[in-house]
Amino acid sequence: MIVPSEMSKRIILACKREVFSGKDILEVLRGNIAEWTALNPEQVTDRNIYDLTVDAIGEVLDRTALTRFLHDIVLLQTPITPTDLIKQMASALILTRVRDESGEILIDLGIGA
Amino acid sequence: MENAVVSDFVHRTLEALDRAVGPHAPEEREAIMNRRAVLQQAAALVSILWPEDLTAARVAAVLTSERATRRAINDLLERIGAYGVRAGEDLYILLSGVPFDANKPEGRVLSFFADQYLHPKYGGRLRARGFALSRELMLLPSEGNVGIQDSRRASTGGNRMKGVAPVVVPSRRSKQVILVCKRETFRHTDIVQVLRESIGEWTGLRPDQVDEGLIYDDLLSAMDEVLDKATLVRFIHDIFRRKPTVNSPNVMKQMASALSMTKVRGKDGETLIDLSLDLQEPALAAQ
Repeated sequence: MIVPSEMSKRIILACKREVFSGKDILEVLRGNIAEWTALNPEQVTDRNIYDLTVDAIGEVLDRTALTRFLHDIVLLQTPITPTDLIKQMASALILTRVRDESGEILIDLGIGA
Repeated sequence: MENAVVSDFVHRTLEALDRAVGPHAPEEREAIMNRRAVLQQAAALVSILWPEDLTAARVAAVLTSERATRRAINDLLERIGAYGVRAGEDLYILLSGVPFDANKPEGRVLSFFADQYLHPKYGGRLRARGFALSRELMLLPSEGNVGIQDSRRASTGGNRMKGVAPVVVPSRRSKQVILVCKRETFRHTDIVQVLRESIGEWTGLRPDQVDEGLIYDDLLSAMDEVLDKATLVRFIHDIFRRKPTVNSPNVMKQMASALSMTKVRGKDGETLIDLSLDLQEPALAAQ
């Protein structure tokens, strides 16, 4: 079982929670990170969000998924910005399975803790 | 200009070494003089790449112990290896002046060095002097070096028998891609264009038929085969380190750079990634 860092858990949960909300995931993450770090949202840069999201995918995705992620980068319209990749990473996190078919926990997101 | 830098550096280094060697007992002096030749070459090579980097005093200081000498040489080689060496001829001239004994650690270090970075056309001359060149054709795979392959296969086969570390053996195409990336580092060529031409050559396509997607796929496969997960994550971290936005040629250049910096040998000279390209392995192993 993978146990991500606290910040990664929060980022993954925020991505999964907002998947159908229609909100801009970048601003959702900015708001959440600001809240968790006691900063104002405008103090959280795209670069901060980018770094924290990369940490999250690094902790929960396997090599194959990481490679697939890199593969998808080239499919994006150029030029690529950090924002593009944050969105790409958020989709990868949203689609990451946390339980297997039999309900076993694969990634511990601290749900119900 | 480079030659002037080298000769000045070597001159200063030798002066410092002579001072260091002076008061030692005869046998100790001899041992130091042997090491000195090796260090002289390494220092000269470093001075080509980083003229102001290594001071003569530092070279002299490391001569005081065998282990420190080896560590210093390994350190230099690692750094040179990470950046690649530009000029085959310079390297040959430097290496060919060394008293060489393949049974000594320094000899092995030099062989390793020549294997990795020397243009194959100088390989025969060095081998005639006793250099145990085992991997020289790695440098320019498209140039034929059939005669050298036997010794190489024998030596890597021996290492494999010991089973010390698992050796990564990438696919043939990935090996080719990695070798091109390593070869072109710091040559100021457009790596994407070089890869386009190389892939054209390997596949029998014209360069204009090799599209970006094909190059990208080859780079990605190579990365997938040789980089560990942590390095992949670091790569994603670093995509925007230099630029606020990137396009796919930028990303491809970064991928090529990541591949060119990948270590193929461990600290003790053991093979981490096998980049050999010959196809006759079973036949040769049976001999």
